Amino acid sequence: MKPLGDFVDAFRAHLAAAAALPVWELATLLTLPLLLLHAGEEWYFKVLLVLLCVPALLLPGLRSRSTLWLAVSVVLLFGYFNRWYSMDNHKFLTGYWALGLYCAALSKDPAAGIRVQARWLIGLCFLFATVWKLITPDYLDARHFEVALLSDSRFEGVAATAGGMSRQDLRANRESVTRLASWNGTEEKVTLRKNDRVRRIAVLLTWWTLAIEGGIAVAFLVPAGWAPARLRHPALLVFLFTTYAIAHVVGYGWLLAIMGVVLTPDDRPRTRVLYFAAMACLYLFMIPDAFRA
Amino acid sequence: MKERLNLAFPSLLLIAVAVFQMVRAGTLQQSAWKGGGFGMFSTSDAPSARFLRCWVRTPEGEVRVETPPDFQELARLARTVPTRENLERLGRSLETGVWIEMPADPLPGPGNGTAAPHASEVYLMWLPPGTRVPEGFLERPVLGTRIEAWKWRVGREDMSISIEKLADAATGGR
Repeated sequence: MKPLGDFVDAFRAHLAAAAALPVWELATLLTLPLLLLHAGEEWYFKVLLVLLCVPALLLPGLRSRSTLWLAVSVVLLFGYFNRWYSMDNHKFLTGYWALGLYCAALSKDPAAGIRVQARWLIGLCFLFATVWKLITPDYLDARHFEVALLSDSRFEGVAATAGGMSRQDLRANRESVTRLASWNGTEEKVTLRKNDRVRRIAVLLTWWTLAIEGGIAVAFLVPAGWAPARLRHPALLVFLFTTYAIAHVVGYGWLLAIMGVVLTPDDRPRTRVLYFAAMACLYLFMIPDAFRA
Repeated sequence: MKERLNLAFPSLLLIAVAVFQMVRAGTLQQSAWKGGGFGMFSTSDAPSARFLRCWVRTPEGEVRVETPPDFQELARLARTVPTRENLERLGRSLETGVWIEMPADPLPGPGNGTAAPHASEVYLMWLPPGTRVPEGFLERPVLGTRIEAWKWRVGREDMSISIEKLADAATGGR
């Protein structure tokens, strides 16, 4: 057991050292792997970002150069806006974050500059997410989450384990909606198999999501001295540990965790470690999916 | 002041894009899920819950066809923003190339690019412009196209999903 104990001790020491790194170092070091792994599948991401990010990972001096972040932002934003109709929202946020790194690198105090970016980008993206949910009728009456639980494979685990739906019924639902939307479909209406427990979970998810996202928007957008601002890190961490256990959007979760790390005061290394743990969990949460597949 | 503007730029860009996306969603039936407005998971009306029905007009009548893989991007755009212009652009693309009649449904079901609604009906496969018609296959001249964009409508009480037409467009032929 001694080698294991030594490993754990060394790991904890390294983790503490990582949490104590300067903010700019943390922001750039955590962003580069995100870009390499989750920026996108198109060739310009795969090729150009590798050419930009791998040298930056190896050469610390490069990471503080504004030119690097300008080039990265141009690649990302060009790619995302070029195919805006198929890009997920968090891709845009990744582009804004890279642009934020560029703007911060240009400023007199890059560490303070990147904290400004993190705070406003989190607050604004959650603000718009909350506004969309508040103005959409099929969100507010929980229809959206109920349909997702019953027919979206990403929610199958929750619908089956917590909702008590059988895998056969969930598969039948997916087949029904696939037929409905098929190019050669002839059906005009299908009725999903359901149960009351899934309905209750949908209602819970609806209001929980609205509360946590709205709460994060308020906490990050109000000035630091206001009471809700004290909930910034607890709310963001709860969001990361709960949302991505269900919806496995690793790139989004990772980006939010980086911003959380950046915003954590230097004298609270444990909070930073919690964000590191959240990043690890984004991958751990996907293990059950791998077994299901 | 310059420094503050510099630092505010990414956030201002986010706001501008998100507001623009909301306006487009309200005016052009653009899906809330796409376009940088952070509307994902706010509605069932995602692009994946939208679909297209396409027909090509031949001298013998209309035949329903699947969107060929070469036009998947145009189809995706037309589903996300089903404007007449986007549907027509897809329709005009379907007029290009060569449509050949398949003797039978070799791989029934969606996704193979060829299947017909029913085994008894004609089904057509698209080949890129300039492709020689393979021996034994009959080319079908295309006079025009008709494209319809549809979305799901989820019932409030019974979890029924019906379909609702968002837009349609026709093109004239070559």
